[in-house]
Amino acid sequence: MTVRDELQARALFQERYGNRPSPAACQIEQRVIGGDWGANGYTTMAQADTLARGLGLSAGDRLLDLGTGRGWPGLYLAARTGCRVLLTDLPLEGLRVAADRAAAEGLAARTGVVASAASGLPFRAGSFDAVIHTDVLC
Amino acid sequence: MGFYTIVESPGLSPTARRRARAAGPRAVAMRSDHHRLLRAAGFDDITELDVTPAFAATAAAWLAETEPYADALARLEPPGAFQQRQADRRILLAAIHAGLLRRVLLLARTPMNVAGGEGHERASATPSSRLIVHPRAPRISGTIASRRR
Repeated sequence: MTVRDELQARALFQERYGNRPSPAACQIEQRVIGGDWGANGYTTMAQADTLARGLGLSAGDRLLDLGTGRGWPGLYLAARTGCRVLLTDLPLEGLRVAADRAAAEGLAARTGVVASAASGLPFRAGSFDAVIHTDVLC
Repeated sequence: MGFYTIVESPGLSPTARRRARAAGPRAVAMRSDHHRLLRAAGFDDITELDVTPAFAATAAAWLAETEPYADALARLEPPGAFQQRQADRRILLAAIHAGLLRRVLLLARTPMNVAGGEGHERASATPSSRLIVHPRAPRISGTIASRRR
């Protein structure tokens, strides 16, 4: 992937996350992946659960979700497992939606939101028990 | 660490590989051996689960569930954008059915359970509902620049 590709992808997602999904889009997403996260990838709710089981996520664990978009699946896993989650991505538009959702779902105390490139994460080594990304390196 | 990713199927001919790269997401074109990269990063106990059948089902579902709303959804986007995405979805689905693309879940552990970059400015990983913009985040928009700490 070239720098130009990356910039195009960022601009695309920035624009996309800035628009609230239409009711029709929400219904479609619900039927396809089982959730309403404004996602359009291939990670279903069942696969997010598989990911949590595979990582052995449990209450109190510290999870880093790279390329979270609007909070999928990191926020879902925080709600599902009781873990703490730190959501990262570059488009602020998506991160704002994720932060609002964390607050609305009572997850704010266990949720952090940081705009950062995955290639230059501002965290100390050993800060997390698990790291995930879904449909990012795809 | 755990992640889902889409990769070329192994053993493809050069022609098939080009088709796989054209049909898949951009990053499929990267010549990446995820196992090698994970090991190089200090991870071991690597497990790979093939989720291609679910990938095919989900890709087909996006196409089928979206089609009835085509007119309404197309009006929300720039001219031609929706139609292009649907065409891309058909090409992707055909490539999956042709065995050109796979989707896998990779799970890996590191003995030290280390995550995070080295040599970068440090920030606390303590959750906070506040939106933080890392000073080294690339400037994508004026919004990011204006919200820098």
